[in-house]
Amino acid sequence: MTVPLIQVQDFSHRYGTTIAVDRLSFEVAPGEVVALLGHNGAGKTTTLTGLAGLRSSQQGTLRVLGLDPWEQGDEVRRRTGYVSEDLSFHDWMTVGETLWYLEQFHPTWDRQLQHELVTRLELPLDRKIEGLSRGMRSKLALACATAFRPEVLLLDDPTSGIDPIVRREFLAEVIRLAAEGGRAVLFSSHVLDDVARLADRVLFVVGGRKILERSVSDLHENVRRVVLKADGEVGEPPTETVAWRPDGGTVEAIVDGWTSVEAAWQEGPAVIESVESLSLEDVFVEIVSASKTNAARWRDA
Amino acid sequence: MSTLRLRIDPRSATPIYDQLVRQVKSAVAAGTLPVGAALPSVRQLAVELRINPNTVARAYRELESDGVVEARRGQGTFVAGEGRPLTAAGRRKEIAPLVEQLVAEARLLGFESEELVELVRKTASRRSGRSKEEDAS
Repeated sequence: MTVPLIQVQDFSHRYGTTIAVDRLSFEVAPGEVVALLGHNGAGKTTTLTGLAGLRSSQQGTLRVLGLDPWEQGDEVRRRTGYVSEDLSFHDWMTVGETLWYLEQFHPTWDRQLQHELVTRLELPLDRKIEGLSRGMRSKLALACATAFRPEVLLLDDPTSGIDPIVRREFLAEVIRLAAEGGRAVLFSSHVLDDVARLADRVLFVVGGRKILERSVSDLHENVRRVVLKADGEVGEPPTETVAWRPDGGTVEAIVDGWTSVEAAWQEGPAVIESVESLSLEDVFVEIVSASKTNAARWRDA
Repeated sequence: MSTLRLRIDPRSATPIYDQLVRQVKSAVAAGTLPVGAALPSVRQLAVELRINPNTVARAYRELESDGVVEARRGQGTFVAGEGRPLTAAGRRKEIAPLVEQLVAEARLLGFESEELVELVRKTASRRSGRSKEEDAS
């Protein structure tokens, strides 16, 4: 068993009476890229700032590199790259000064790598931070978070609000680091394209709760949109059903666990008319809306 | 390598590794990627396409088990030569659907297992006899 680089166990967090994160548990192993997927307010930033050691855990356990990011924050931050959502720097510093300043906190800072990052990302060393665009700030933040070859990289919605060209450069740098192997990357996003490109595994978070945790390839293999046709009885939806939409003599079903459902449906009574794979975006939409329907059902019960 | 143009669509219902597998296979079939041509390294291709390196590695593994490419230790991944024998697992994977189909059809026609095996054996030996003759001529 490899020791996970990130461990979140029964983590909960409230702001006043609002529950931001509700008993969240997951791990990220070395070599893995994991996406935290969910709408704004789903609890992604709270979880990432907790892991970055910027807030203490009210409830549950957070571990990065086996350390408590709040109690052993200095050690965790020395070895963990973090790109925050707000991309804040000291506005009066230049880009070059910012890199020099951050170098002081990281014994493993690699000047050669810094130079490469500055060149590839076209960072203007002499410019003041306050004049930089959001895209340029995000590239600088990524350079700062990766120039010391961190063992763990945390990215909070890194590609939102930046133009497509900057986004491409940004993703390429994240992949360069991931390809070095043995590192853990955890990023939050609601850009499904980025999740499909980057993630080995996805966590869907709704209202602070994890509603699904699966590898991307597992979702691709198991989730199908199936149209069933029947003269009379279509039968009951199987337990693997995510959505069940009857329409006259046909039913459109979204199932998660296609191989076992297929075997059962071969027996009838309904006839399988078509079977389609779904894109990650469609999977996400179906599963989130199903979780809302279920939540409503629980409330009504 | 420069002639290899791989494109991936993250919105497709086809998994990204599978998109890569299909594109490499059709490039090999079309001759765009000739026998012996080098494929980019996992890292290179991952950065270029901006996709998870594990996804590229998986595509390369699939291509290797299908006998389309071969990994040479320390050198990289190359398009495999024609007639290069597949790995045992790769061969089985390729033939499995045809065997399934054959067995299903045979059942419908009322063949017993033994009878079917005998028929396959006869056909196979007749074929190999013929190909030896062809080699000799």
